[in-house]
Amino acid sequence: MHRDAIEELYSYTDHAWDLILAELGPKGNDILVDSAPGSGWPTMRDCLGHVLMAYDDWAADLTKQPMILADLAELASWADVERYREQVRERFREMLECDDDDLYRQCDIDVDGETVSYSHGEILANLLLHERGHHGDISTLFYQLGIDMPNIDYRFFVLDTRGSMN
Amino acid sequence: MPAFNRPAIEELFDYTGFSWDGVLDATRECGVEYFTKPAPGSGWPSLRDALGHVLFGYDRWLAIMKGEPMRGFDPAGVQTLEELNEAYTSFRDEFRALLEVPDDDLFRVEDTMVDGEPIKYSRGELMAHLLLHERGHFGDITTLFYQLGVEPDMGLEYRFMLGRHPD
Repeated sequence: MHRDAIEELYSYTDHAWDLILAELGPKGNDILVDSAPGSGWPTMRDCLGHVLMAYDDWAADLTKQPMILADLAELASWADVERYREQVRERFREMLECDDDDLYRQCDIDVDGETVSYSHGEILANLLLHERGHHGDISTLFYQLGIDMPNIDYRFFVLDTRGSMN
Repeated sequence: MPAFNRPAIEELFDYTGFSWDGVLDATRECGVEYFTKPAPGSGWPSLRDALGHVLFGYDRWLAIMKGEPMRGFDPAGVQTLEELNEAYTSFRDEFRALLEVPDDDLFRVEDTMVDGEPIKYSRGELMAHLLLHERGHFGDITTLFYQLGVEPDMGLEYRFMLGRHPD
């Protein structure tokens, strides 16, 4: 996936994240850990944290830095979640801020003990599409917690970016 | 040139097709009875409804792109996985045909009637929207498998489509 599409997905996932947090944040920190039985996720924190930890984990693999967070239980408040988001997305941006040769060059990466050849661009695209995939889980969690899910469809992001509905 | 240019749309198209096949294979592996088995607790009554909604999205947005009425695809009327897959293939063929236009046509922003209201979109933007809509619902589908008590190893991540991960 080329750089411009990665940038677009990056902006789109930010847009969706902002809408999700605008809905959840005002409900207080308890909603982060309210039980949501029936989902694969015990709580909203586990699902949102999983999305963020994927960034953290891959960035650690690609840049040989330690992960920022060791345990999702450290995310005790929306402020913690937001701070973690900013940190992992900053690392993402650092990986994107390179020339095209570096972005698209295949390199050997250790994935769960196996050596696999990926470019950084491929892993960055993987991370953004991973986040987008989990929007469905988040939607299910909203349903289970009795909260209306905001509309995070791409087409509304397009209109917001253009600054007009018409 | 828009960020989601033609190669990006084509890559998302391939990726959603890869994921779709993975979900259908996983359903067959678990047992076709899971296709319509009730999954209480989800926003979706069953796997059929979630997968059918993805197809409803194709029906709705392809019709909007063409300025024609919807086919009237009804997920509730689908009885088998094969029937659903045939409809998916048919919608995807239509998608591909709509993609086969010059870039100027693909990315021209123009009034598009959406629910009776003219909104400025290019066909390419709506195609990206449709594919990302599909991608967004794979999380619901994974959750549904969990709620049905099965957790097949689907390997739906984008990187698996690249075909480099050892089995």
